[in-house]
Amino acid sequence: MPDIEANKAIVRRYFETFNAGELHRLDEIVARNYGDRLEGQTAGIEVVRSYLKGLKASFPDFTWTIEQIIAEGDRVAVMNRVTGTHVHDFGGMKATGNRADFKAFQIYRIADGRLAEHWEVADFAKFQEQLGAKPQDTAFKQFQKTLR
Amino acid sequence: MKHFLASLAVILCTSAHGQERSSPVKDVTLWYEAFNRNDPALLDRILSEKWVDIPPAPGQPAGPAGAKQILVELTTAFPDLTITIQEILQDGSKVVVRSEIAGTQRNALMGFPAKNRKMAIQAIDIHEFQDGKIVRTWHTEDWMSGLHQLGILGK
Repeated sequence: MPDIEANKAIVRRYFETFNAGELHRLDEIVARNYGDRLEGQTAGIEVVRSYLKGLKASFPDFTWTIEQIIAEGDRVAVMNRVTGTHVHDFGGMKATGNRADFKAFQIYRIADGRLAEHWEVADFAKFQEQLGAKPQDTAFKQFQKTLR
Repeated sequence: MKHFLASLAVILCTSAHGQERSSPVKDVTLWYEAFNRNDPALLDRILSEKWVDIPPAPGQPAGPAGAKQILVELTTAFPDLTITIQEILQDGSKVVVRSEIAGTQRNALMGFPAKNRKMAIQAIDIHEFQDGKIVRTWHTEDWMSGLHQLGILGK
């Protein structure tokens, strides 16, 4: 019988760890073979670690704020706000100093007390618009490419 | 005593059955069925009069009329529109659905003419129930990928 509150607590800890930029603590929270189903991502804890590091490098104050957290069985869903300032270059995009503020939806599968799998749909269209990028620039995809 | 045990068994069986999906999950599936069957009337069965869409589309009317307008616009742009539920979970009054929206664009979408291309994108919705009806839906769809697949943006 999965403990829904314990599962929610793991997800909350993941968000706090990202917000604090304490990415060395990911090993306590994320499974080694973390299956990230976010469009353009591949599996493994090191992939997500460099992805999160990359986000923080461009947006040092990047913050995920949980607005809703909903759980059943081994799944935890989150609706969160993503806010941050585009202080350094992001993918191919020169720093603009613009403020990003958009919503994202996540679903995590929890196994053995860690995040094992992840699906995400975020409002990347709004993110792009806030960075002043043209829609065809796909700033986010460019960023993912720079991590490879 | 025998009688008591028998009634206890009935109660236990009933509660075990009660653990089957409760009605919010079944009702929520009607939302997706309405789009798949191009049947806007189904939406009236599940949406509250004061239903709020977060965020609404530009120019979307308030309440269930707004949902019906979206349904008509999407099924017109994509006559073969299929929304497949991939995951559904419930916690109290809220139901989360992860789905794939797929279709071939045969007519204009948000003013963009059809190039007869196919798209398949991810979506996640949260539906909130009150008094047996959906009062709020928060949602996001990967339209960035969709507009690329349809040839509307970029190559």
